[in-house]
Amino acid sequence: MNKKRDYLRLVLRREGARSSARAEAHATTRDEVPGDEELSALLASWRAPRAPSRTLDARLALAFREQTQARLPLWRRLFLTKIAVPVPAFAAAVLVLICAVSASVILRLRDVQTQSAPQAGVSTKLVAERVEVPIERVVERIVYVEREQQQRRVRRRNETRTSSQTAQTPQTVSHAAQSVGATATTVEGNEQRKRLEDSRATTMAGFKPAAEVKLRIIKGEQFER
Amino acid sequence: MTDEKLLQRASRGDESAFLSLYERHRAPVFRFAYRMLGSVELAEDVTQDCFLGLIKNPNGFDPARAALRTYLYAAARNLACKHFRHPASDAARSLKVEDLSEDLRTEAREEPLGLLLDAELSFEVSKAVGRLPPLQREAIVLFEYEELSLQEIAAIVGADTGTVKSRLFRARAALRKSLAPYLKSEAEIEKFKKVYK
Repeated sequence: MNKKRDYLRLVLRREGARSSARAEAHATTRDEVPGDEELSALLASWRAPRAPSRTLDARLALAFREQTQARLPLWRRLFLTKIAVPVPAFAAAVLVLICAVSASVILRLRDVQTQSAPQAGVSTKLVAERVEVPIERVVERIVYVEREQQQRRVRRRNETRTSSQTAQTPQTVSHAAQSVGATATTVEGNEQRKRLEDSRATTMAGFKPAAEVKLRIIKGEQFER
Repeated sequence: MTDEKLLQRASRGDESAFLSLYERHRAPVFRFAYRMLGSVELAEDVTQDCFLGLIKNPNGFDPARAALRTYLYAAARNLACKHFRHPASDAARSLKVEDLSEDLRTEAREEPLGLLLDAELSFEVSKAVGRLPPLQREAIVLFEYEELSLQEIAAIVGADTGTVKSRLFRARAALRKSLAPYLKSEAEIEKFKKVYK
């Protein structure tokens, strides 16, 4: 504190010395020019306005603000920037905003009313009920059977039948007439089988190529037999 | 607070410091500009440019060389010189009666005739000063109206004191010539006053 006081005293002394020196210099240099009182009195009759108008003060303050704002960083300038909006434009904008808000509120209210309004002649009653829905799981599987195995089976069956028939004919002579009838039935059966086989045989008749092909890859191990 | 400190704070964006600096020096700078240019509008423009220039480039002012007011006078003088170089300045130089605001005539005489005479005398003096060459005009304005010393004037106009002195003598001689009728009448009035006392 004492140091500060001493410093202030020193500054004041210096300032005092400077001002007194200035005043002395001022007086001496002004004395160098001989005075012309008559002319000076006449010149004094021209009085200038004491100070500039208040509009200049406002103008200058505004210019100062603009100038100092130009030095500020962008984010600070964005916060401090002012935009002059004409009153009619502002009023129109406010009016439009109010209209938009009120229109949206009205539309929402209408929607709510139409949703909640009960239909004419139908009495509605809200009942809370828990419903358990059975869940079924549908699994689709394609079963592939090898054609050769099937054919073998059919052959085996045929072979076993024919062998049984051949074995029966020498033993049962007495039943010759019956056996003739039996052979007739076996011939018919053979013809039917042949037809079946023919129908099963792959032919390209009536084949039409598909417009699109759907491929489904299935692992061999998953074949169900 | 000193001018230097206020200027430092103002250059950092302190508006109150700037305004107090402006309040301190606006009147003399404006008066000087007005007497140099003879128009309130032009004087206000010069005053504004002067202070804004100070804020734009605060390092331009060196407190070791001169006081802030001297610096501002010099800036106003340079700006006024720009107006003289401009062709439109001839119209600005001739003082208009409308520019003589009310506070010019309030002090001396309260009677209507007295006010009218004061206004006329003020107008004639302003015309006579306005007719002076710019260098002589600035010397007489700074010496007679702003009451600056020869050294200060020399610092403002950028010339030595001898040159300023000679400009002052020439300006006075020119003014004595152009305002001779008023000087005589003033002398006569004084004589009448003495006689009738």
